[in-house]
Amino acid sequence: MRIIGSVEPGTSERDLLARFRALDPDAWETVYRRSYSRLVEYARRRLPGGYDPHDAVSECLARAVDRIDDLADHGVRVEAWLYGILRLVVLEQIRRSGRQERERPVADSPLGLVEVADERGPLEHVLRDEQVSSVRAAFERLSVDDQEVLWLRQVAELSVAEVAEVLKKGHGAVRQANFRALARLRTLIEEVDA
Amino acid sequence: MTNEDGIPADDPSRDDAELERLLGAELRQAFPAEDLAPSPEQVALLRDHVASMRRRPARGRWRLLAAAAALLVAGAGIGVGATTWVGADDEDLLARGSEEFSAELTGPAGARVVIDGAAAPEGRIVTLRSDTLPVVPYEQFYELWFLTDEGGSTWVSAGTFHPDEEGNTVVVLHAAVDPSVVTDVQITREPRDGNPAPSGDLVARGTVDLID
Repeated sequence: MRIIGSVEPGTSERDLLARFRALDPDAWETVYRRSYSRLVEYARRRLPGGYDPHDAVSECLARAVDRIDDLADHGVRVEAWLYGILRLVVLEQIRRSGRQERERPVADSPLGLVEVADERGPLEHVLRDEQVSSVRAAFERLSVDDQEVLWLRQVAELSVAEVAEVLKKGHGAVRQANFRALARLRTLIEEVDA
Repeated sequence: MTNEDGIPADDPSRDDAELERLLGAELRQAFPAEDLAPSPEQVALLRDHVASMRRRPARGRWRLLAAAAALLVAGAGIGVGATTWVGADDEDLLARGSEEFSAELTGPAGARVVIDGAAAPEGRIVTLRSDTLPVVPYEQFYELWFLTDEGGSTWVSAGTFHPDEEGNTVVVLHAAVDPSVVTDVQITREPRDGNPAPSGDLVARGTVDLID
């Protein structure tokens, strides 16, 4: 069965990458749709104030189209390449804004507490929300580098190889950075909860 | 005894794996995926551009970038506040300035770097191109410097960069410098140590040619 506007279900990542590289519009639409939310969230977290994350993602895709000849098959999903381009777009804006780091207050983030439609009772909701708040507060206190590696590896759920592709680091360096950031996050959560 | 990943109970990496599993889940719960989707107009425009790019020769594709970004944004009905940067690829940036100077830098190890400078309201826009700068490890990067003799020898940094993994470099940098007083242009290799002073590890150097 063919789904209009996307590649067929079951298409392997390698096949998708090949079609993406061959400028198959269906492959591009598939990747665009499935990665849009996380790309926007990544941009939103890292962009200086006043910059629209949707614009950054549009810029990322436009650059990707133009630079498709640079996309090589490194055995990772095409999203890793897109994150790499988006990261450069964001860094350019940070640089232009004259700010080296950005700490967006949690309250400004549209990633506000999300009402989860589940079967938990009121007390469980309160406890869950408190835990979520602790994790977010601790995450905001991490360095930008720690936040980035955890966002890519844990939230965006990229593989170690894919994060390495985005950050242009070795696999071992990514693993180490990831675990060190997790350890620091754990410490900060304990501090927040104390 | 092993856990579900098959990691023995006495293996130190088990703690890391457990930590990752627990905190990873906490993070994903703290930052749930938003239900965002590109607009139909954005998708249609992307598809059009991908299709049009496919009809071009491989290396003749360069250039649709700004138009694509602008159209994508316009199609989404957003970007009013982004006119200063959306579609601002290297060529757009250069188009905002007037051509002012160029320089060819060479180095003892065979590096050859060409830079072009343009005057713009916010300063000088410098485009740097090379395919002979060696790839540097993560712990290092290159930095472009303009040397002037104003008030003694002054080093003005135009920014840092590194080649891509294939050794190609095309970057656009900004420098608050008057090229008419520049005596020397240098690229140094810098350690990632947080020290803003030039390392002295010279990679390439040259002089500025002003364009009348």
